[in-house]
Amino acid sequence: MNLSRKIADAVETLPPGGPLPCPVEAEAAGARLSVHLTAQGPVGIAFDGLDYAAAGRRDLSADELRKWGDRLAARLTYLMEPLVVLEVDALAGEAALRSQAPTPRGDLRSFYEVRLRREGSLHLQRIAFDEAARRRQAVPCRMTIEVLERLADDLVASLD
Amino acid sequence: MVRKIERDQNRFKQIVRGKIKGDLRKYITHGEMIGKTGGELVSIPLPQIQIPEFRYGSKNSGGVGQGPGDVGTPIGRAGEGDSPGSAGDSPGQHILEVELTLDELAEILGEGLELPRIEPKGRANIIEEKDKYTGIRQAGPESLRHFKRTYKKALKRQIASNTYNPADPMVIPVREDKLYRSWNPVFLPHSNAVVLYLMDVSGSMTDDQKEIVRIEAFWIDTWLKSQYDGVTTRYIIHDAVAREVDQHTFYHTRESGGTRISSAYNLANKIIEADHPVADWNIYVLHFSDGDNWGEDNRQCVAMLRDQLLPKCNLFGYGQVESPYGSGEFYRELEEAFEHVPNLALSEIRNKDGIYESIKEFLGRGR
Repeated sequence: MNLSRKIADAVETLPPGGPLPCPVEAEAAGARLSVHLTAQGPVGIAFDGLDYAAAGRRDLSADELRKWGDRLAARLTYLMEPLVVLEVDALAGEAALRSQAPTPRGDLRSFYEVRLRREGSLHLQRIAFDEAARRRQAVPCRMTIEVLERLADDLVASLD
Repeated sequence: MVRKIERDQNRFKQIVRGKIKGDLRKYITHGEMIGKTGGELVSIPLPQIQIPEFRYGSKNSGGVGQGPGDVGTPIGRAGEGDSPGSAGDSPGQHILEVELTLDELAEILGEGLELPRIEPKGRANIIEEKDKYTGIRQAGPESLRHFKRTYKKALKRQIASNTYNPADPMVIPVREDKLYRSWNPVFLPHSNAVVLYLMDVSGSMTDDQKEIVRIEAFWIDTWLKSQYDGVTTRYIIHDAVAREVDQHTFYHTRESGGTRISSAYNLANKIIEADHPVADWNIYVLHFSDGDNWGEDNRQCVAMLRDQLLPKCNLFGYGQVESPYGSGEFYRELEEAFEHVPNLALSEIRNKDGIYESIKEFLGRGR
C-alpha cells in the first residue's frame, strides 16, 4: 500500500467522536507523512500542520531545493491558491513557498506556506493575517480525504 | 526698501508654501516628485493655483443665441452627433510646477509634521578648516587688490611727502602703496551625520514595498540634510547575507534568498566602527523590512541592537512595511524587547498612506 492510501486509511479508521486534535501518521517506502488533525467529518478533514519527510536522502543543494520547490508549485494546483517559491536560504538549507496571492476574507488574509528543508522534509501550514489584530496565526487547512491522498502522492513524486 | 515685485513674489511664495503645507500628506504619499529632484531643487505640481491672466470683457462681442436654428429647437440629442473627433492640436491646460529648494521643502515638512529641530549629539564634532579673506598683504594678484586701502596708503604717502595738492586732489598709487586681500584659515565647528539605510530585499519584499521605502527615505534624507552641515548616506541590502551598495542598487535589487536581519545589523555595526567613530558622528540607522525573519535570528538581532547598535546611534528606526502576506513578527519582537528606549523608533507602514505617520514617528523625537 502506498503512502497516500495509508494516510487516507489512517484518517478514515479514526473512531467517530474520538479525541481531537490528534496526530495521524503514515509511513511507506521510507517516506513519512503526518498531519495534526483538528476536525474530521464525512466530507473532509481539517489539520493545522502537515509534515513530510523522505528518509535516507543526501542533503539537497540550494539549487536542488529551488527545483524541488518549483516542482511542488507545478503539481499542487488544486489547493486554494497557486504556490510560488519565494525564498531559498542557501546557508540554512531551507526554501519557502507561499500562495501567489493570499485569499482575503473579511479581516483575514489567508495563504499557504510550505517550508522545505535540505534533508528532504517539508512542513505545510495555512496562515492568516488578521488586519484588526495585526498578527499572523496558523489556521486549519481544510480538504477532502481525496485531496489529501493526491497531496501525498504529489509530495512523494516531487522528490523522485 | 522692498520693491513691489519682491513683495508680490514673497506673497506668491507664501501661497505656494501654504498650498504645499495644506496638501503635505498627498505630496509625501506620492513619490513622483522625487523623480523631479534636480540637484538642490524639487519641482512640485500645483494644479490648484490659477495664474493671473488678462481676460477680455464682453463689450462688442455679441450676445447669446447666435447659432443656426429656430427658437425652441432642441440641441445635443444623444446619438445625433458627428463621428468621434480626432485628437486636438491646441495645447492643453498645464499643471503649474513650482521649484523649491530641498531646504524649503524640509522647512515645510518640519512645520507640517511639527518636527522638533535636531540637537546634534555632544559638542561640535568635526573641526573643519575654511579659508576666509580677512588679512591684508603687500603682494598678491591684481584681482585681489584692496582698492580703498591702496588709495588710503597712497594718500598718506603723498601727504607725508608733501606731494598732495588739495586743489588738485590726484592720488596715484605706486607699487609700495598697493595692498592685497589675503586669506587666513578659520576653524569652524562642523556637525556631521551619517545615515545608514538598511533594506530587506529578500523574495518576500515586493516592488510596492520598496517604493514605500524609497519615498520615506527621500523625506528623511531631506529633513536630516537640513539639520546637519554634512550628511553622508550609505546603503545596505540584505537577504540572508548583507552587502553595501550604491543608491540605485539599493532601490532596484530583488533577491530570492532567505531573510537574516542580523546580517545587515552586523555589517552596519562594522561600517560604523570602521568609518564613523561615535565621538565624531551623529549616527542614524534606518531599517526597512516586511518582518519575515527566519529561524532564531530575531534573538540575535535583539542582542545586537541592545549591545552594539543602540549605544552608538542617535536614532535607530525600524519600519515594517506590510506585504500582501501581512506583517511579519519582527516588529512585535522589537516592541517586546525594547520598551521606552528613547533612540529606538518603531513604525508599521501598511501602505503609502502610512508614510506620513511613519516619518513623524521616526523624526518626531528630535534626535
